[in-house]
Amino acid sequence: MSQTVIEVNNLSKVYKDFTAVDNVSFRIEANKIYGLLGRNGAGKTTIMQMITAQQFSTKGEIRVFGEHPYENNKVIQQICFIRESQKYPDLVTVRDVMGIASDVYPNWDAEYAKALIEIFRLPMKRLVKRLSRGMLSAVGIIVGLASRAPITVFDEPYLGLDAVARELFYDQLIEDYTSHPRTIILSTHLIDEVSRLLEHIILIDEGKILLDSDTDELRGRTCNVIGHQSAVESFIQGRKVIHTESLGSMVSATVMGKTEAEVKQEAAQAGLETVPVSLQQLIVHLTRNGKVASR
Amino acid sequence: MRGISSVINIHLRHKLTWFYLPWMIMAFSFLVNLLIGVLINGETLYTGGLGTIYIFMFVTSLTTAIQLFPFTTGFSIRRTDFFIGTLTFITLISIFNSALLVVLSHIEVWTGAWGDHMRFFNLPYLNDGSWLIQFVVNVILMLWFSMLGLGIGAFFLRFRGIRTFIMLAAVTIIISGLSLIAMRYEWWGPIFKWFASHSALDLTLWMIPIVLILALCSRQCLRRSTV
Repeated sequence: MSQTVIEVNNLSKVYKDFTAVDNVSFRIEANKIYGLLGRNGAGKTTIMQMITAQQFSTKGEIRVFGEHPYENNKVIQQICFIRESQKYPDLVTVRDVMGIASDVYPNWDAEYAKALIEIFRLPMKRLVKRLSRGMLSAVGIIVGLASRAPITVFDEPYLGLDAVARELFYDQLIEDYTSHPRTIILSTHLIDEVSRLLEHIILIDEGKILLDSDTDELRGRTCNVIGHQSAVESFIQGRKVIHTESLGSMVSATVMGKTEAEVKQEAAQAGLETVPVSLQQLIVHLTRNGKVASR
Repeated sequence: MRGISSVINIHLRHKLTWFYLPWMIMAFSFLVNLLIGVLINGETLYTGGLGTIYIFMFVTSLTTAIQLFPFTTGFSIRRTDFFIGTLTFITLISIFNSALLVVLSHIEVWTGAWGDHMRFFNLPYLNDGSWLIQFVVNVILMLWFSMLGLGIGAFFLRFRGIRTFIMLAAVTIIISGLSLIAMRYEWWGPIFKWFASHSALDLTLWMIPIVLILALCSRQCLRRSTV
């Protein structure tokens, strides 16, 4: 088992009239790509803000590299947190932002940043305030990639980015991650696009963790089981069913098994067809039901 | 240290609002006043143009605190480092500005109030005493105005709009109340006498504890601020 870099225990954030994060516990291991998924307002950003000590938790414990992040340079300079709503002062240019980032992040790679600026076609001399929404997102992405921070968090990093630029981002992320392994947390709702990148998924809904699982394992143990109504119904007895839909006498049920082999083999024995479920479908079903699946 | 120097660097990237803009406006005000002084060619003008720099220190401290804090926090800079860096920068620019003001005040004396037309940098009372005293008075005044700005900014970052408004309204009411009481009991006379009996240096020395308290309060507010 690899080293744990972030450990969160029973973390809650309660505002006056609502609970943004509700008793959440999880661990993040070193050098993996995590997906922090969930609907808008699920509490993803709040959790990341508490981990980076930008927000204060109401209750619970946070350990990053074994220490609490609050006012702790040893910890927070190891984290680069790129968020969609990052604020920039009125008078800074793209060049200034890169200069400041190179001051702040110990592992900053100026050459790489320069290359990325060309790839994303950013005007160096323009004020950040005057950038388009997509370009603003590109600034964050470049800072996040070139910071090479041991923990890099991208929180909805690509608002306004076109499909080409998003693909560029994913390619750069994978490429740079391969040559400089580090922990990357991607928080997003464009699940299909990032599903090939993610090694581990944490799914959050209404402030609670619905799912915390390895992506491959999750893919393996969930599938759509398709067949005649009676056969499917008897098959899903006593199993964890996330979603069912029927078309005439045919029924398709999304089933989550205990192990990878279990569901598929047993379904085959029962004469039922199995089809893989896309991550996006799975997440949509899970968050729509609001039922708590097994960890 | 990395964090503190980064904050100072970020402030240095804002030379326009910290430095060029106030001095440009002051230069403009200086020229306009000088022109008027030459045109009317009568008694020496006493101007308040010098106030520009102090007002600017207040406003810039306030606005940069509010603008920069969410930025630096997002860029992995500690709250304490933001505070120390900002305080250091404000102190440095206050020293720099004050030195410049002392030099200009001496030039004004040397030119005989620009040919006896106008007193701009060398004002009676404020610029009494040696160059060192003038320098100290200037530095403390500038720090006082900046800390007031930073303090209100930090309070806003910590407590947000409505409570900042209430705080400012409360302060205004208290001050108005006190001045009403002073009027009712005829304290203004003695108060003015007290001011007159003290030099500008004496008065600004009294400001040092206020500056320190403001700095401490700003720090406490910033340490509990979120983005």
